[in-house]
Amino acid sequence: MDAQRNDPSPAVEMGEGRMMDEGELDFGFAQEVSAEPGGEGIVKCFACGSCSAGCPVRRFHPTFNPRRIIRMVLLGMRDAVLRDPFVWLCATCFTCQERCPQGVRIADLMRALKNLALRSGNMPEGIPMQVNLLREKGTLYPLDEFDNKKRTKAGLPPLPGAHEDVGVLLGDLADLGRPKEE
Amino acid sequence: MTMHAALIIDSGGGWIETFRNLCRRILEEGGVDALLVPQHLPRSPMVQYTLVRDAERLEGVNPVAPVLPLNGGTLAARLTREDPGARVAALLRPCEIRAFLELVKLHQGERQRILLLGIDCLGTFEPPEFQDWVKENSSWDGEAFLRSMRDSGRPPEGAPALRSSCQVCEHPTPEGAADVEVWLLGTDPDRLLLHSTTEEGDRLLKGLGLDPGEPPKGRQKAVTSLEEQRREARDQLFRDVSSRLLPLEKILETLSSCIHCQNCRDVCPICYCKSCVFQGPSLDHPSAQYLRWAGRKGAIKMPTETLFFHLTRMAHMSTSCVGCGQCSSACPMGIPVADIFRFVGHRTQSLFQYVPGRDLEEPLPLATFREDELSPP
Amino acid sequence: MRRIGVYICHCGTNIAGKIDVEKLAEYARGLPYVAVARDYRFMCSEPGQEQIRKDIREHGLDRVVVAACSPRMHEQTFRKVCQESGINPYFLQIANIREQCSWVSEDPAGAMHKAMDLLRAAVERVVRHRPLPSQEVRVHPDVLVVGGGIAGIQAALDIAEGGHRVHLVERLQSIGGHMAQLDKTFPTLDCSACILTPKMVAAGTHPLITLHTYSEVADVSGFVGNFRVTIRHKATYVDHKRCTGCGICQQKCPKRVPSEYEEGLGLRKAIYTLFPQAVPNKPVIDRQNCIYFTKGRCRACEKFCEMKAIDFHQEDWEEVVDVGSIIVATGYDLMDPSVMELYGYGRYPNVITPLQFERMASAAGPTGGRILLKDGKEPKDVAILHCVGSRDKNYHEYCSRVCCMYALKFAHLIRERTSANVFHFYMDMRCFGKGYEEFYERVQSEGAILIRGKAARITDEGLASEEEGRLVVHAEDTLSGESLRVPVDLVILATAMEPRSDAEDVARAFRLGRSRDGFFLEQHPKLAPVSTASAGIFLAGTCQGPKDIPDTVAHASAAAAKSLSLASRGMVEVESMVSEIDPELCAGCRTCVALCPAEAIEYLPRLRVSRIQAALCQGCGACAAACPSGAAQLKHFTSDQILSEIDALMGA
Repeated sequence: MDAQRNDPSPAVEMGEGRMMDEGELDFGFAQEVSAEPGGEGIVKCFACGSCSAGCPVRRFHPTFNPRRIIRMVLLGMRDAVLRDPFVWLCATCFTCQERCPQGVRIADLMRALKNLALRSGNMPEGIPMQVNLLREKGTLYPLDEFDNKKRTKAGLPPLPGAHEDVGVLLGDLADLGRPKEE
Repeated sequence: MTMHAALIIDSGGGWIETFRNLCRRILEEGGVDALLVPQHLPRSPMVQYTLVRDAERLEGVNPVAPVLPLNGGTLAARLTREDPGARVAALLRPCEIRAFLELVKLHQGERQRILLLGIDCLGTFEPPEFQDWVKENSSWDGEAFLRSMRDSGRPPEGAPALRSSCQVCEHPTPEGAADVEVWLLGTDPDRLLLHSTTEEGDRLLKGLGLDPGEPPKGRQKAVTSLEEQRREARDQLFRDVSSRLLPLEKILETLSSCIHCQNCRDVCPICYCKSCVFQGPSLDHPSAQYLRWAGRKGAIKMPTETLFFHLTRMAHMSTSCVGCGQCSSACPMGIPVADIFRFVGHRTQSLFQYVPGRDLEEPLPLATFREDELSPP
Repeated sequence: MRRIGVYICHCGTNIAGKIDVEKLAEYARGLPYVAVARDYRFMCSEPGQEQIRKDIREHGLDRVVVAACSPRMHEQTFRKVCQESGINPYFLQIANIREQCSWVSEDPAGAMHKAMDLLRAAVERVVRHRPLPSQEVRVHPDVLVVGGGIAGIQAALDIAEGGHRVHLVERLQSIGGHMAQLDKTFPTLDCSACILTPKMVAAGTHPLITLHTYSEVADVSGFVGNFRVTIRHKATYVDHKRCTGCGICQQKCPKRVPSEYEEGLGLRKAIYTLFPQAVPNKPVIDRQNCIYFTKGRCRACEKFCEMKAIDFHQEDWEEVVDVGSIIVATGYDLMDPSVMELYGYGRYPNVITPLQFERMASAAGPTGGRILLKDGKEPKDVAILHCVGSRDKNYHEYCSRVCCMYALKFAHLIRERTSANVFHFYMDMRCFGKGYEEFYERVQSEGAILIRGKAARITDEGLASEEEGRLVVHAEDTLSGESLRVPVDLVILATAMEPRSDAEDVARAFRLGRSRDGFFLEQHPKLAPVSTASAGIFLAGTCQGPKDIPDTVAHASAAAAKSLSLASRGMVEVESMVSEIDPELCAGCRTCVALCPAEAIEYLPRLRVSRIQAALCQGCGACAAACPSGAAQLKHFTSDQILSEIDALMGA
């Protein structure tokens, strides 16, 4: 038998073996998540672990465990789920979702959790940076001179480096990328 | 099993006279004991069905007179419900044959007990209009109508218009449902053309000593073109009806002049019940009931079941409706009953891919069960 | 003048919690013909019933309306009350103010309004009720059992022991079913053959059991008490009257094909019996594979058969039997796991099904009871995957109920016969039966390794050289949170039990319903688990849902008891609510004749009308619905009764 050891250190909030006080738990949290688009089926989870066993992200990031995230939501570990960056690690490959015997839409659930996290002001640093890029350049991977030189060589017309109008589509979301005025 | 024969029309008599002679020969030489055929009655401009056993009593025979006094399918059923004890033949129009076949499926008649002569139908007038027209044209004999319809597709100058049901009838020919077909469409004016489609029909033509011949070349084209024209008219009618009838409240408006004579039901060839459910005990309400209804609504129309009557009749017979239009002709209030019933019938029949009177092997949609019915193909 | 008694049930708080029952009774008192109206806590209780009897006596009631639960529950109860009090049992109408009102309504005012409507409609209807006579028909004493697995065998034996003739129809050439393929049975580890074969022999030799093997039910007509069944006997090409079962034909037959009984692990001949203890132990020729039938020459079996029993000209033939009741015991199919790509069944030769393992474990099987890999070596590590296709919304939502236990049994057999490690990949261990938990503990103590997690997939990608050629199971042990890859040599998939592939045809032939999972539907999940919606047709065993052997046998004996009680009384009360045709109105169109599922309508050519044979009519009302003139009417559901009910519902 060959087990991939999990490194528990970065996930203090995941409460590995820790005694928890009932007061730390928010028993309405599961309901709240169920009400989010994508979170509907969460209570059906019977924790078989086939999501975690097949998760490609988990191979490289052992703290990421979709089964545990679902259990934490069901248990009401609101702060831990929303504050910890692990929901943002999901690559949305849908492997878990396709294999889930209970029809829980796990990848959709991760999106729902990201939305909740965002609403409570929790997000990894990279997210505002990405929004900023979108707002300013209209793309996450802006082209530069070098790219266009290569295109010209290959006989292709040059492309604009930025699509500023995309930023308009972001609407209020664009504010996420602006530096906070404090 | 199909045979074709042509009779040369003698220059003196014309098509109708040639046909009367044919009827005579059918009774004398064709092994037929009795013939159901439309005739002018003595001293009457009207044409009615007659059942003839004496070959000398055929002087008024006129199969092209554009009038349908009643749907002869009912008569054919009546003559074959039990064994008539003699060989009977009947000359019927396509809508009558189709009605008869529906009645056979309903066990009200027996196909094997009758030899069917089916004639191409060029359309008919409303019976009173036909009668008036004949009265006004003393020299009328039907030949002019036949000529005009063949040449221009329209009735002669000054004649009434075809009934609405005939204008939209896409089944102007017997379509193989009769034993012998009498062809009018796409034929030579100097020929009377017969075409048998069954062994019985072959036997009759051979018994009359008629030789097989070639079918006329223009037939298919003439039939297709007329059917095409009728289908277009039919679709136009359906559009009209749907704008007149829908939304559903409008049907009430249309039926509001109904006086409950139930003529439509009496003349309908498909309404085969001995006694209509609307005359039976289930809708015979206690007196107090009417007062209760009136009390509830403030006022009610009496009798109460106008819409219910028409909807019930529709539910009972619309899948078998052959569109003969007798109901409209019989309505004293001029309600376009047939237009409404054809419109609905077309839809209910399409639902089951059912064509009434097409084939005795096709079961009545409401008397059978298919697992795939009402599901999208 | 009618005198109606109206009785409103509180049903505890089921009704009274939503509806003001006193006000409803007050409302009833204002309705026409109502002589007395009362409300009571439980109308169905003895005091409740007694109140009705008393009122009928003292108030001279001639009609009764009970506003309570569904008529499915207590219509019979209150009909009996009417009958005991001397009024016709059909002078009763139930207003369902529970299932159709208080239970489904959230708004008390709306519920009250609806209850008043339902009550008014019931009163209007009941005044139009006409008395109906009760009628009984004779029950044919014989019973048909369909399916010769353990359920069918048990039911047949119980009925025959009760003194009634049984026709036992089996599709294959021997009875025995799936149980005949098993090695040991949990939790007692009796040898399956040792406990099954005595029953097979008993069924085969019982004077009151007629075996129809290699046969199928082609048609069923008639109704409770009087079914007529057409049995199609497939051609065996062996005259079983002459055949002694000596087996020489099987020895001499040159054609070998994979054996279905051995789940493809062994071979059989083209002329074959299923297994050595088959009942009857007579071979049949498999036409598809027989060299004579496919190529026109050979006939080796014929040459060597001393009894001259081979008959290549035999044809299928049909036989009609009359029975009073039918037990459907058609069993289950094991799900084909090849649809679950991730487990590699069909792609990896060492991924096998539970029945393949059973055959391998059986001393009489293709490996003589040795647990071997495809290359003939003994496995060092074995994985058993639980819930393959069960408890999985992509396949079957239900729990198959037997897999946990047989998986544990497999672990025991593997540990007993090899030195292999056995890994269970399970989600929950369901050991609910007598002695089952104890067995679980025993297998645990024998060293089975339990991993609580569903296997996500099986691959053949070894990471190290010693893993080459092995299978790797990927799963999470959810209790420790560890993600695992477990290299093994053999994987057994504990696949789901599922409805037989021909369940739909069987359901249609026997007029059975099917539940959402596809198994045949019992009349009531708790109180009528062997009865069906078709009177006189009962279910036994796994055709009704996954069961282990003890439950199957109990279910089968219950079905046998149902058949026996019908047969021993000899008479059965049939529906009084039958149709009737008014000959004055009937036009003889025979539409009803074609539509009648009970074949209860005959046409009288002399009178040119159709007539209903009351004893056969099941009261479905198809004729009444189809008859345009209203000549056919279903008693108790006549047009005037229904129209007056609707009318009363429409307005005060």
